[in-house]
Order: sequence, then structure tokens, then C-alpha cells
Amino acid sequence: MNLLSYRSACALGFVALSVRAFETAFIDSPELANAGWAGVLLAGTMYIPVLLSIYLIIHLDKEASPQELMTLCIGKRGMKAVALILSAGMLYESAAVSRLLMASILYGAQEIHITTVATLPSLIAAAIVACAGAGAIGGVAGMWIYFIPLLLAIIVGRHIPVYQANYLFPIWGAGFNAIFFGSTKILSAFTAFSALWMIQSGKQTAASQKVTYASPKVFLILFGVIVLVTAILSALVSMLVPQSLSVPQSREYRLSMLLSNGLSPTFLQFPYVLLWYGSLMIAQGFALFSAARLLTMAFPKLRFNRTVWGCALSAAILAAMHIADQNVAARIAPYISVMNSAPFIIAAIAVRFRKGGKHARF
Amino acid sequence: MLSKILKGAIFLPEIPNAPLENRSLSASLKENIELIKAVMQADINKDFVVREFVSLEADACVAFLEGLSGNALIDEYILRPCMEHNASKILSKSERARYLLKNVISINQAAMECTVDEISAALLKGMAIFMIDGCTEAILLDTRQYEKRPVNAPKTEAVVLGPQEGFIESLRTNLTLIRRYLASTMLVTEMHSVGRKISSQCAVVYLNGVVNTEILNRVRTKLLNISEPLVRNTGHLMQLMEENPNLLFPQILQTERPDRAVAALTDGQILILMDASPYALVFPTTIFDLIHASDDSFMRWQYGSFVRIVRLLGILISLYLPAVYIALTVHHSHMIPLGLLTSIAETRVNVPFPIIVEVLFMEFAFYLINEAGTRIPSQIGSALGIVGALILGQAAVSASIISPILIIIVALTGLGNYVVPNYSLGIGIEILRLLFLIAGGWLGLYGVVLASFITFGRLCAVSSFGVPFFAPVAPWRPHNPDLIARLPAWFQKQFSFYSRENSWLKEEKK
Repeated sequence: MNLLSYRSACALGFVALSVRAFETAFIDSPELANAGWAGVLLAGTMYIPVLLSIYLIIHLDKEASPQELMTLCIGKRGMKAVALILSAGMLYESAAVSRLLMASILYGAQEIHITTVATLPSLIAAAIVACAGAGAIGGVAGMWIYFIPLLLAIIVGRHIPVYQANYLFPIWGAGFNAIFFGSTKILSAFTAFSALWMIQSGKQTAASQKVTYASPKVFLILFGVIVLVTAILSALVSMLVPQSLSVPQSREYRLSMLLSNGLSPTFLQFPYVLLWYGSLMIAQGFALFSAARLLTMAFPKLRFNRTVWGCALSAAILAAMHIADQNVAARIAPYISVMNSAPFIIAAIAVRFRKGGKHARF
Repeated sequence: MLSKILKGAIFLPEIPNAPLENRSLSASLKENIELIKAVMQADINKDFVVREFVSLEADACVAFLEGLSGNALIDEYILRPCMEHNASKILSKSERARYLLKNVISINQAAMECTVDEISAALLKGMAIFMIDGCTEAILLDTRQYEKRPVNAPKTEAVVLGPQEGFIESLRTNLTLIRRYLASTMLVTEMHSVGRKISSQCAVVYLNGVVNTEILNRVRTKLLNISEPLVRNTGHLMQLMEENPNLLFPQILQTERPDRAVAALTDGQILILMDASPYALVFPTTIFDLIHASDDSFMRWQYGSFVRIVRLLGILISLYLPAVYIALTVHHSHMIPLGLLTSIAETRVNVPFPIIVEVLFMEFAFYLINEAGTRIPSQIGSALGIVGALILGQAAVSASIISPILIIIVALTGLGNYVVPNYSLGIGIEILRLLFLIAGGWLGLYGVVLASFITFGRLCAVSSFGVPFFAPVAPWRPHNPDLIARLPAWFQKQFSFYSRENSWLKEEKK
């Protein structure tokens, strides 16, 4: 089946989830008032029950794929229902990322006057790559991983003399309430981890085609790294932008704070923009590929390439209808989080209570 | 008048003599000679020679193609001994040929054959055939001696440090070169013929016990399933063997260097060599094989790493510099430092064309200079430098058709392209650069990122005979630290992931 290897899944997850979580924390949550790093850590903590559920499910059979494991826990119909729910969530995610990219290119004063058309290039590009299969989307993330440290080193290194630690104070920003509600938005980005786990095979062909299987701890460590890196980046960027709650802060405004905050030299916009666009395109590819993959998991008779283009078209329509806009996405983020998380907690509990105990088969 | 014209006209057969070639020899020498002459069209082909003589008191003949067979070999080791020999015992008619082969003819490679198609194939390769009355078999004798180019330095893969021998158009010489570089009993050369109507000889070479047998079977199956009537050379064979022929980048490496070919063999890769082609095809191939040069491992690790990093930067510059220049100047001018931006604006004041037109014009001019440089006769080659530098460069700037900074951009881009060791990859990069250029001009850096995402995403999905094109980076696989930086030889503990598990080379390394 067209599934990611676990190493490709790690690369893809790191890039896609980090950039989405960072974007949610810094761009879409100005109410956090430079306490985005706290929101990220809290969101990561909120996801721990789901993570532990996945960890327990993997322990049922370390060599089985996630699809087989979920079938073992909740039956074939249950697995297909979970795949369908996750697919809907990732389809919405794809629409949200395309709106975000549209906002980014409009900030960059691109000459695209019809904003809805501006959502199309990223969806078309992501569909072209997703149609090439798991190797394509996982591979491009694997290659991008090598460039991220270089670009971050340039950005962070140049900013070291100008970071203003006082911008982080007060340390809890606008208060715990704001952090809590902000973290529910960031959690919706992190819960895409559930979809990532479902679309990977749990194994890897190594040198000389020898198959190796992922240790269950790999996914725990991966998630921990994603949360930590996102929190650090949020904190670093917050040290360049003074806290401000007094003006309505659109995505374009927050992007201008990121790139033109008075402390960053203009030439740094080049690595910033490269990092931003590159990571977001990988997030877009991940969202579209996983939406299509999960849909074909739920309905195996669907042809994958047609499903990818169908999902791209659906995401374009969702994006054009403004359903994936910043404020709407913020409102439905908690529901997305529950939608992506609950099935795994239920599956982990169900497996302990199923009829027949350890040897039960649905 | 018409009958005279028709009598003088030569009507060439439209198809090879298939019914004749399926026949076997008879015991009558005269019939056999007529048969072979008909197959080889001796009445038209004047270079086909049949020398009749008497040996062991029976009629015999030697047939060969002049120019492909060595006359001295035939005279000294076939004609003279056969003519002068007296048999020491009474022989039956059918024993004559074998007797002469064992006792008289002193050519080191010989075989008995009775079918006309094998005999004609041997003649076309330059072998001589010996037939004697009463025998239904002919002796095929290796008397090949024809003009060929000496082994010289490779023309397309020049190196500073390293062997200066390159393959030539003779398959035998090329195989000899490989055997000299890799003296191992495990080196295997499988001979095959490709081409349904006109066959060409090729050799599949690999190191037994190191090569991955699944990949080898895949290569062999692909080769044997070629249904073309004729395969002209390794370039043609490469196009028929590639699994993704529409891709911009080659998935099979063509090398002119025996040392490079031998390094591929020890890594577990497979070679195919063809007669009349001075290249070896290497299977499977990844992008890293295409950007590595053979002298990287000949140098000390510090120099090898430095050169590789420079080469990679050159490739990235060649691919992205014009696109990024257009994107920044048109869409993201705020990212350019003010001093440089002012300088660019000043130099472009009198240029009437948009930047993208300027860039496309200079790119096209550069491609023309490249192509002309390849085709131009050496006597007037120096004129190319004058045309390129003065006319296209200086004059175009003076006429305000292009800005001076663009000359620098295009020059750097061109230099970046020249560091690509593989010629096919270099052309692929040139084509891709155009696409990135258009994407950058249309959507700025966003367009460049989109184009790169699509390109590298699709490339990551490509495989070369089962090995992913971007392996061992994407997907990641354990590998020697020898991709970008080349760490010291004592760190290269693993053999390539191309090879089979537990190859005998790997075990010895432990």
C-alpha cells in the first residue's frame, strides 16, 4: 500500500507539524501576547493522552501497520470510520494551509488580485506531488530537513545581538485563560500527528533491502522534539516583537511583525521566506496526501490519484468559501482536536475490554 | 535500351536472407561456398573474400571480411599450415575439420559450427571461417584485427588526479581495461546480443557475491526484452533501458572511465558495455552518482570534501541564481540591500526590456555559445571566444540591450553548470533552470519554491531499477559518509546499499 516509511514520516511530521504549530502560536494567536511558547507546551501536554494511547496500541503487535492495529482494536468498520474522520480533518487542514499560503503571498505583494485563485497554486503543486506517492512527499521532507538547520542558523545567528528578552515579560502574557484557549488552537495542529501515524507503515527498508521496524518510542520522541523545537522558535521570535493587544491583528499584520519588526535586517527576509514557504508547502503536501490516503483507507475501491485531485478540489472550494479563514479556523479548532484525538483514546480503551481478551479478533 | 538498363541494374534484396540463414552446412564444399556467398551477398560485397585451396588432399577454403580479419594471421596460422600439412593417419571425410583444428591450425580461439546464421554472425564480427569438403561443420577462427583508436585520456570526464585511461569503441579492449583494474575471479562478464534484426554485442559485467541479484535480474530481463530491430550504441541502449524515459534527469550513468566503472562494480552496481561505444552504462544510479567525480576519492579527504561542496554550490547556483535574481528584483526588491538595489536600478535605466526578457535572451545566447563550442571546427574555435565575449557581452551592454549585472549572473550560472561532471545531468539542469526562471518571474520566491517542491517531490518518487533516485538521503538509509563531504577512507566502513546483504567484500572489511 502507498504508506510512508517511519523515517519519512518522522521527517514529514517534524516539518509539517512544527510549522503549523508555530504558525498557529505566533500568527493566528496574537492574544497569547508573546506567551506562544507556553501555549505550545500546554498543547503538547494536552496531547499526551492520545500519544500514550498510540503507544499502547503499537505494543499490541510491533510489526503490524497502524491500519491493522486499529482493526485489531475496534474492528474493520471502526478503523474505516476513524480513517474517514481523520481524512475530513486533514482536508480542512489542507484548506487552512492554502488560506495561510494565500495570506503569505499577498503580504509579499504578489500580483494576484483574485484572492481565491491565490489558493490554487499550492493545492495544484501539492496534488502533483501527492499523486507520486508516499515516497515523493516523504522524500521531499527528508531533503528539506537538511536545509532547515542552515536557514535557522542564519536567522537565529544574525538575531542573537538583537533579541530582547524583556519582550517575553510578563511571562504569562495575557493570562492563563488566553494561554489555555490559545493552546486549544495549537492542539488542532498537533493532532495531525494522529493522521501521520495512521498513514505510515511502521517499517523501513534499510541497506540491502533488510526490513527494520519502528520502535514504539520513536513516535514519543518525535512528538517531544516537535513540541520543544516549536516552543523554542516561538520564544525566539517573540523576543523580536513587542507585546501588543491593542490593534486587530490579521495574518498579514503578524507576518509583517515576523519579517519587518525593525530589529530584523531586510536581507534576512530571504531565508525567512524560503523557510516559511518551503515548510508550508510540505505541510500542504502532507495534509493533502494524508486526506487522500485516509479516504482510500476508508473506501479501498477509490483510485488514489483521482482521490488526491478530488481532495484538492474540495480543499480549494473550502478555502474559497472562507470556511478555512483565520477566525473560523480558530473557532472550530477545539472540535478538530477532539475529532482527531478521541478515536485513539477510545481504541486504546476498547482493546482492553473487547470480548475474548488478548486473542479476540473482530 | 530498357532491357540494357534492367540488365545493368542491381536489385538489392529488401530483407535479409532469412530462409538461407536458417540452413545448416552440407558435406559439399561447393554448395557451402555458394550458400555463404549468397548470405553475405558476395556478388555485391567486394570485401567478402573466399580463398580456396587444398588441404589433406581435399578442397578447402577460408572466408573472411577484408579489413576485419588480420591477413597475416590467416596466412601464417591457417593457410600455410593447412597447405603444408600431411596427415599422419587415414582420416574419414567428416574427421578432417576436427583433425586440422586439433593438430594444425594454431589460432588460440576456435569453435566448430554448422548453422549458417552463427557462421554469418562470426564473419561479421571479423572472424574467419574454415571449411573443407566432406565436413558439415565449419571452424570459426578468431582472426580479428582491425583499426581501432588507442586508449587515450577520457574526453568527457577529465580529472586532475587519477588514471588517464578511457574506454574506446572496442568491447574487447574495454573489458580488458576492467579486468586490469579489478583482478578478481568473482568478476563476471555475461555476453549478450541486442537487436532483433541486426544484433550488437554487449557485455553485462558485475561482481558475483556483491551484486544484488534482484537488481541484476531486473537489468537482465529489461535487456533481453528489448525488441528494437537495431540498438546502435550505449546512448540508444540507455534510452531503451531507462524506466522513466520522460524524466529530465538521467537514471543511468554513462561513464568513459574504467576506474569509475570499477568503483561502481565494487559498490554492487552493474555495468553494460557495447561494441562500438566508448562508454559503460552503470545500473542502478542515484543523483549522487551523477554529481560525484572519480577524482573525489583519489584526493585527500579534505580536498575531496572541499571540491564536492564547491561543486554542489555550483549546481545550486546554476539551478537557482537566475530565478532568484528575477524573483528578488521583480517581486521582492525590499529584500535587496539598498546599495545593491540602487546599483541594479542604475544599470537598468536605459534597458528597454523587462528583466525576464533580458535573462531569457542571455540564457539563449549562452546555450548557443555552448552548442557552437561543441560543434565548431578547432581551426576557427578561437573565433568563438571573440564572438561570445566581445560581441554578445560587451556590445550588448554598450547598446543597452542588457544590464552589466546580468552578464555576471549568466557567467556564474554557466560556470555552475560546467562543474556538473555528468553531461546529461548538465543539460537537464539547464532545462530545469528555464522552468524555475519562469516560475520566479511569475510568482516570485513563492513560484521558485513551488517549482522546486514539484520537481524534487516527483524526483523522490523515481527509482532506478528498484533503488530510489535520491537514496540514501530520501529515503534515508545507512550509508558511508561519502555523499556531500567525503570523510576519510577509514570511516567508509559500509559498502554501498546497492550491494546485497552480507556480500563477501563487506565481511572482509569487518
